[in-house]
Amino acid sequence: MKQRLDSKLEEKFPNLYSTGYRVTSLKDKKYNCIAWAAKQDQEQWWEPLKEPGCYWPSEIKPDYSFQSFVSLFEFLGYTKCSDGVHEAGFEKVAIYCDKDGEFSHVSRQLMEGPWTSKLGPEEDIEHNTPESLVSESYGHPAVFLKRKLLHEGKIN
Amino acid sequence: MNAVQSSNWETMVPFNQERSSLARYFAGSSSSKEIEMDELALKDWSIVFSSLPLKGKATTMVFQQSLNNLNPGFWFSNISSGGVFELIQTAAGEKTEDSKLKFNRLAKEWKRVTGHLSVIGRRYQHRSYLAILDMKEEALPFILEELRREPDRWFDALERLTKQNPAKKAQNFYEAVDLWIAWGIANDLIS
Repeated sequence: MKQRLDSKLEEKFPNLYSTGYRVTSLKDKKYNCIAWAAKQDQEQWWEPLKEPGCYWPSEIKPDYSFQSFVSLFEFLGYTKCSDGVHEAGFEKVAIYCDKDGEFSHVSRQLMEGPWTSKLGPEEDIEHNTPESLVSESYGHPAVFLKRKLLHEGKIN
Repeated sequence: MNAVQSSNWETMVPFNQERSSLARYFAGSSSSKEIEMDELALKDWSIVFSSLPLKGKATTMVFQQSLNNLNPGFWFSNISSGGVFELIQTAAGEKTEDSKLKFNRLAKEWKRVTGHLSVIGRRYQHRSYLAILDMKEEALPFILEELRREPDRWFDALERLTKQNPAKKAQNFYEAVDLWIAWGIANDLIS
């Protein structure tokens, strides 16, 4: 597996290389960052869209408001917290919004402290901070949520 | 005006502000005419075949071809009905872009700018994607070829342009790609 993203993709995230990252998967158009953060789902694209391979929980309002994406993770047992600092026994997600206040991305914290992100239909990466992906298209991490790890290393 | 030197062509004055018509050629009914273009300056011009006599703006364009990529000596043939060939130039020398080149340019831009986004709905709002939709049915074979060459989220565009959805029962992205390509082949849009 290659160590770095294609240069054109890497350039979209000005902080990424300098803060450290590594590629952890091949490209896969089947799933997105939401599926990856929510359930480590690599088979479905989580989005409120009626298209082949798309999934959205029926309990969540099927719209693109930022709040709906926050609600999705609250539905999965997360509660809001103040930051992305690693806390033993908890897993965290960072929900990003762009300059228009729209949802743009979500990252999940790994047990050891770094973060994992699926970049749209591109690769998964492991990056050291949520700020590694601050950019024009992904905006910045605006809301952090956490939930207690029921079993070490297991996603609910 | 100096570009048109053939005796077959009649020079014209510009007829509107958007396009300047420089010359026209009257083809007889059901003629099969070869129009030699080697005497014309080929750069930045397009030719339009109109089935209606030109009175003001031509309203029926059945053939349009950018001349920019043609070699001298290019000709049209097998014209099935009479009409007027009109040599046009867009305002300020703007080229009339070949539709395949236009699609490729728009698709490349769309993928470059939006390919890494996490939300497909945002990709569908990009201006290049909307411009492809504006190409209407003309874009269909190009989309299907592109879908086969480099699978991407073209399902929405295909459904909008065809009013059909052969991939309705697809379980995942790649299955939907296969179903749309099979549909394109079955409908003679791609080979």
